[in-house]
Amino acid sequence: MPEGPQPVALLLAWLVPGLGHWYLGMRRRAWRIALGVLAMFAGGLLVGGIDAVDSTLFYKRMLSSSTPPERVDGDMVWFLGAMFTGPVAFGVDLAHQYRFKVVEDTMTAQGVVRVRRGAMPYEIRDARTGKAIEVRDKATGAPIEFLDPVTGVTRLATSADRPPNIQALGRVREIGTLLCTIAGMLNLIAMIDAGWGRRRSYDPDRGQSRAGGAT
Amino acid sequence: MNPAQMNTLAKASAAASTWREQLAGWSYRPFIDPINAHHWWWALIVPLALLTAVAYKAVRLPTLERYWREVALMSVQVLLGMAALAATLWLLVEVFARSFRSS
Repeated sequence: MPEGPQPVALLLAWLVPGLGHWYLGMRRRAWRIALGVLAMFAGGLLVGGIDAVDSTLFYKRMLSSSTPPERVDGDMVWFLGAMFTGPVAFGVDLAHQYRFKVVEDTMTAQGVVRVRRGAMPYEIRDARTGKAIEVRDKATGAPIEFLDPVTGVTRLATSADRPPNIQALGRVREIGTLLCTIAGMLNLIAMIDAGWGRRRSYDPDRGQSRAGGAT
Repeated sequence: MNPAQMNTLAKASAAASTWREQLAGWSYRPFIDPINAHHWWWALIVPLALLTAVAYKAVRLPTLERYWREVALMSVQVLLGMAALAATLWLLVEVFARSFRSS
């Protein structure tokens, strides 16, 4: 059993939850970590929808401090926890930002800023431009005529014309976001254990440990 | 309530009803749309506690011989702790805060 810091195990633990322990020979632990972390992350998406993972302006904020404060919204802080689930969190977030959100140009003190926001229930997303198209009356939800971006024909909206995703609200949103964030936090513990935890001696899964687990 | 307010309320109610019908006509897309758990969201604390225990105990325990037993124990402890916290906060808000306000 290798001793000392294990950077490879740390990286593997971030790439796929449980893989760091698998690399160190703790395979039963690895399966359990993967089950707990990934099931919780998937559960968060199942409860809150893709809206549960939202890094709104996370990258921009990291790269530049000039982002207007009024645009720093969304679930950026929660994403700081969820990102420890690994590339899966970044993949889901990128899909959310670039396949589900709509693009909008808004005027701010710094000029026109292009922002991405969740589509409203009365909007659809133009897959080509990413812009929102209103297909229902805001107040009543009744279908209205719109220019179909695919066919180029003006027609009345049908039930098939719906937003790319429904935004979660209230407690459902809270629980969905919380599940994804806790999944990331749990994987952070697993990463630390794989990278720096006191090494269990031979056959650590079977309970013949001398050193014990991470404390 | 005056007639104008009643009229506004009726219009808002009718609009909300139309929106509800519209939303009900849309099928649920797993992992994309949220589930309709607004009346039983609190039950989701059970899988949250269970999965937390599954991952945490896999890292924390020196041996895995009593793993599932420890997972069950931690899950129950978390749930009981949350229930106790909820009861305490309920007492604080509904009993102590109200009596303080009325005195």
